[in-house]
Parts: sequence; C-alpha cells; structure tokens
Amino acid sequence: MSVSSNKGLWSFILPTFLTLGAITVTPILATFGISLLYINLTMPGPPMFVGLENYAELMADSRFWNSAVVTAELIFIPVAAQIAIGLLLAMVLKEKLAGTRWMRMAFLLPAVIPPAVSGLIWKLFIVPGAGGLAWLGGVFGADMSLDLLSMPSSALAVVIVASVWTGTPFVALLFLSSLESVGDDQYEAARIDGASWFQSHWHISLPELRPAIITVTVFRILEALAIFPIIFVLTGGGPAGSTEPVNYLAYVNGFEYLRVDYAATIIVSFFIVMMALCAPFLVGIARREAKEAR
Amino acid sequence: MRIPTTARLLAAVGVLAGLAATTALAQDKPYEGVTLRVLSTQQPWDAEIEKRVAAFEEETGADVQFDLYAFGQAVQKIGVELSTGSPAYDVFFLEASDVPRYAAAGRLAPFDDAIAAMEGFDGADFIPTTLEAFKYDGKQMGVPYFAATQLNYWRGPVLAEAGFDKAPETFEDMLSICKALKEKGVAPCTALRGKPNTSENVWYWTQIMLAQGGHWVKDYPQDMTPTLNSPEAVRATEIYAELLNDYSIPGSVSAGYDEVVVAMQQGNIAMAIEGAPLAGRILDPELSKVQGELGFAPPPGGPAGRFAPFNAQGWAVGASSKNAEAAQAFVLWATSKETVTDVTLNSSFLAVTRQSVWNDPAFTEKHGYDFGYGEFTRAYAQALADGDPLYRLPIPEFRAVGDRVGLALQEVVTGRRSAQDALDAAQADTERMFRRTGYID
Repeated sequence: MSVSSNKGLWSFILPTFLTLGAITVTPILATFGISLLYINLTMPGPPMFVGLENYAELMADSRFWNSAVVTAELIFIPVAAQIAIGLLLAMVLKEKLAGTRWMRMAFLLPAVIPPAVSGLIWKLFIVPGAGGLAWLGGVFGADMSLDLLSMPSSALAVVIVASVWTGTPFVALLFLSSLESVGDDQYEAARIDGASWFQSHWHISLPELRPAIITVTVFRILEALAIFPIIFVLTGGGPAGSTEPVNYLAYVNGFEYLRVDYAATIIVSFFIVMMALCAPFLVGIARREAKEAR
Repeated sequence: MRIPTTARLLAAVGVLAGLAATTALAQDKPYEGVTLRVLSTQQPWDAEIEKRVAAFEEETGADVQFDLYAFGQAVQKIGVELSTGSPAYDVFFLEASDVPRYAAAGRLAPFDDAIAAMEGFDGADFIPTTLEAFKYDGKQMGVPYFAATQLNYWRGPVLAEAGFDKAPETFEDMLSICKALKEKGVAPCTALRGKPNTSENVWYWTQIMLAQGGHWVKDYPQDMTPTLNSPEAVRATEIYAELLNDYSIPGSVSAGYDEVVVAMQQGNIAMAIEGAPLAGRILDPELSKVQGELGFAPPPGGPAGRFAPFNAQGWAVGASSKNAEAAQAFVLWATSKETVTDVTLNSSFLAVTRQSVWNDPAFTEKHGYDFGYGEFTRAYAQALADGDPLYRLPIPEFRAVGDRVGLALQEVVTGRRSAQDALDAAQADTERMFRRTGYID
C-alpha cells in the first residue's frame, strides 16, 4: 500500500495518538518541567526556574546513590530469577502430567494477589519466632527466630524473594504459551535421536523461546519496581535504606518532605536511565513485530 | 383558583412563625447544617473526643466527622492536604514542630480572634511552652492538647537485684547499669525506638546528643550551619548504637514506640525511656505485668545537662477551610477545661496541657502512680520542665533533616557505616538542603 493511500486513515488513528499523548507524553513532559523548577510548598511565593540545579543536587545526594544501587539489585536479581524459574516451570507444566491443569492455576495465585496483600503475607510469614518461617524452622529443627527485616542484607533478600514470588507466575505463563506453539514433532524427532528431556529443551525450546525471553526480560525490567506496595508494607525502605529504590525515594521526597521538584528530578533521571537501557531492545521488539506483521 | 383572604393570612402567619422558629434555632445552634471533617491520628485523645463529640454537635448543630489514621500515614496525608491548600478537611492534627512547615506559607488559620471571643477558655491555664510551640509569627496557629516528653520507666526490684537503687542520672550510667544487668543475666536491659525517622529513633537520640553538648545547628537562628557530625553528636550516636545493639531486645532496629511499650508492659526489660503519655498503656490493669514495681524518673542526661524530649501535639484549622469559624469552635470546645478534665478522669489519656488539670487532686489520684520508686506525675512535671523548646528546630525543613539523621542512625546500628561516616554523610546532605533553602551560603 502506498503512503498516499494511507492519508485517509489518519483520521481513524489520530484519536488514539492524542489519547496516548495525553496520558503518557504529557505527564512525562510535565514532570520534566517540574524538575527544572524550585518549588517550596512550605513557603509562600511562586515556583522559580532553576535549570538543572536539582539534577546537580541529585548527583551529590548520598541517599540517591544508595537508592540507585538498591534499584539495580531489585531489578536485575529478581528478573534473572524470574526468567530462570519461569522457564523451568513452563517446561515442567508443558508436560502432560496428572494434575498439571490444577498446578497451572495454583502457580498463578501469587500473581493475582494484590501487591500490598503480598507484602502483608510475607510480613506475617517472617514474624520472628511466631510466623510461618519460624514454624517451618521448628519442623526442621532450625532456629528461625531472627528478625530478617532488621538486617540490611536479609531485608533485601526478603524483598527479592517476595518480588520473585509475585512475578514468576506471569513469566512462566508467557513462556508456556510460547512453548506450546513449538511443534511436538521437533521434540519427537529429538527423542528418537536419543536426546534427553534436558537436551531437548536446551537445543529446541531455548532457541525457539529466544525472542520471547528477550521481550519478557525487557518488560519485567520495566515493571520490576512495581513492587513498591510490597516494600511499603514490608520494610518501608529500611533498614538503613537497604530496600529503598529510587521510586520509593521519590515518594518520600514528594509526599513526606513535600519536595515535589526534587521528586520529579529523581523520577526523570530514573526514566532516562531505564529508557537508555531498554530502548535498543524495545526498538528491536517493535521491528521484529512489524516484520512478522508483514 | 382563588384562595380566601383568611387562608392567605393564616398561611402568612404560619410562614412567619416558621421563619422565626428557624431563626431561633439558628441562634441556638449556630453551625446547623455545617459538616466538619477532622483529619487526625488513631490515638487515645482522638478516640475519647470522638466519644464525646455528640455534646458539641447537640450544642452547635454541626456534624463532626473523623478520619483517623495510624500516626505515620496521618502525618503524611496531612502534609499533602495542607501543603496543597485542599479544603477537604477543616481540622488537622499537628505536631508543634510542624507548625512552621505550614504556617510560613499561610496554610493555617490563626486562632487569636476565636480564643479572645470565647468566654472561659482561659489560655493562661495552658503549660506556657506548649501554647508557645503552636505560635508562628506571634499568632496562635493551633491549640495543644498533648504535652509530649519521655520518662525513664524502671523496675525497682530488677535493678535492685543488680545492686542499683535508683534510675540512671546519665546515659553513661545507663550503659553501666545495662552492662551489670547483662553480666548478671538480667538481659535485655532495655528497648528503644529504632525506626528511622524524626518521630522515632531521632526523637530518642536527640536527648543524648543535646546532653553530650551537641546541637542541630551552630547557633539558631543566627548561624544555621548544621553540626550533625560534631564530636558530641558522634559520641551520642555511639551511645545510642551501644544501647540498641548490646542491651536492647531483638528487633529494636525496626521498633517503634508500640514495641517498646509492649516490652515494658510485659516485663521483658528492666527499663525503658519512652513517652510519658504511654504510662496508662504500660500500666494497663488488664495487661500489665509491671504493676507495683515500676518507678518513674526523668530521662538520663549527660555532661551538658538533662534534655528531656519535648513536643506538643494539637489541632489546627486549615486556612482553606470553608467552615473555619465552626472548626475553631470545635477545637476550643475539645481543649476546654471541662472537656479535658472529663477525658482525663474517664480514660487513660494523661498527656494534659492544662495546668489546672495537673493540679487537680482527682487527676493525681487517678494517674499519680507511685509504687515507691518515684512518683509518676512528679517525674512527668520534671521532664516537661527539663524539655528544651528547641528540641526540634522550628523550621519547615526539620522533618527532612530529622529523617536524614534517622537514616544515618540506622546505618550505624546495622553496621553499614561508622558513626562518624554516617553523620558526615547526613551533614553533607543537610548542608546541601540548607544551601538550597538559603539558610547558609
């Protein structure tokens, strides 16, 4: 179809572009605009334009750099674990074993529980000496009365485990649907040639799933910090900022210290870094989908 | 249709009579039809006022609705509502140290005219520092109902077991006592707030810092250069960390006042420096295991003296309130002598800001706990007298500074940084914050 013949179609897609612009581009631009101002809600007077001053302050903020490290830990470790466990689960669930239908539903449960409730569940589970973990420890003769949330490394580990717990089912479901599109004849041929279960998946499933793995990884990275409610309920960003990612730091600055300009600066900086990291992959995914559509 | 003249006259008389009755009702109930919304905390005071609010509603015709949240959530929601000038609520809970945060931008409605117009309110009856703490630029921005300080709650028989017959005078003494208790197997010695914010670990730590001779800034308000990494502040942090790590209950690093109260109430610790208003909960007749053995003393001090925590809590009215007059009338009713006396004599609430109540024998009889190890009301009055009005700096940015120090304290107690390193970082961040707001060059 020629370009000129597309002209008439603009009137149909324009409303979608306008709506997308209003709900995505406008807030981003507004947030960027706020980050260039000095806004003090606790003092009289209008906002002042300060250029990149807030960004310079951010670069000198030790709490921000701590949050940046925590953010990296809370993105890459859980996403890697979700991909690995999700793949394994998908491969197991693909097998037509007894009860796999019910197992599929059971595996999905953590994904449908609201994040704040997940946070509460984990908080109750690890209550020192009285939660489910202490009980489990008792069953196996181990002393699990430690307060895991009072130590930086264990608190971070708990958040990571909770993140993996809530994110993995969705990943497994996506891999499973991709895996089911791979023809059974390939596995059959491999089996006849003497390939083991592991070899079949290593040489057939993984190459076939490669595009899905890249897509899921990119989207999980972008969504990784959606565990904000879990952090809010479970640790409040502590102890000592060990579970305080940048979106939590932005929340604290905006809603507790009423520094909306600084909160906007944190969010814009984070947005830029995430886009720089993920843009090549997003472009690749878009190109591949366009190619497939043709 | 033609209406007879007599009927028309009767109708007119009826309407006039109705109007007159309505006017009389309006005079009797000046806020008929007004709905007041209160945004406050889930604390005993709020619950007790909510129980009694029908009397105010009956008297004025106003309908008072309470939205009560846990302390942290309430403070945050109030921050958003007040700083954005939202008219959704009329009455707000405020800590006195937060008054400058909102008064500077004109977010609060001054009470001066309302207080002057109300007969029998008797402003002179308030503990002067509490009322003063709610002033900004000479105007009364709220009315305090809660005088906050801390006491040393200590179990006489337990300390006697280790050879001590009185509460520690200084924090260094406290460390010695805790060490002795630990060596004798009476551990843990104490429990303390570890949550990293202005209202928790910093509320506790500040008294050690001031007692060591430290200050928040060089010379308030002339020289606002922060002094958070001074040798005194570093020593205070080391004392705080030693108390928490070596002599406190497990989990103290994330403990708030609730955990401390339960530990003391259940007799799990030998002593605790905790909120004076919490005595009622610690000695709850149904739950307490320390009845009869608890002593009360002002908190320990240090080389520079004793600096018991001091803050007042109260209610303020938003400048954006559409019912400011009614809202102020409600606050003045709630903090009147009659209401406060009724609340204190019929509940566990005792953090009273009115001196007449403190001097009331009925109040002393109800709350004057004395088990032979120091009397409660005397210790409370002493702690209030020792309170430093600059315990928290009266600047809008104080909460951000306090929270930053709170984070540094947690870094120390969790072993992530030394006291000097953590406070150096807090100092640098605070200097940056103060430079931005123009306090320092």
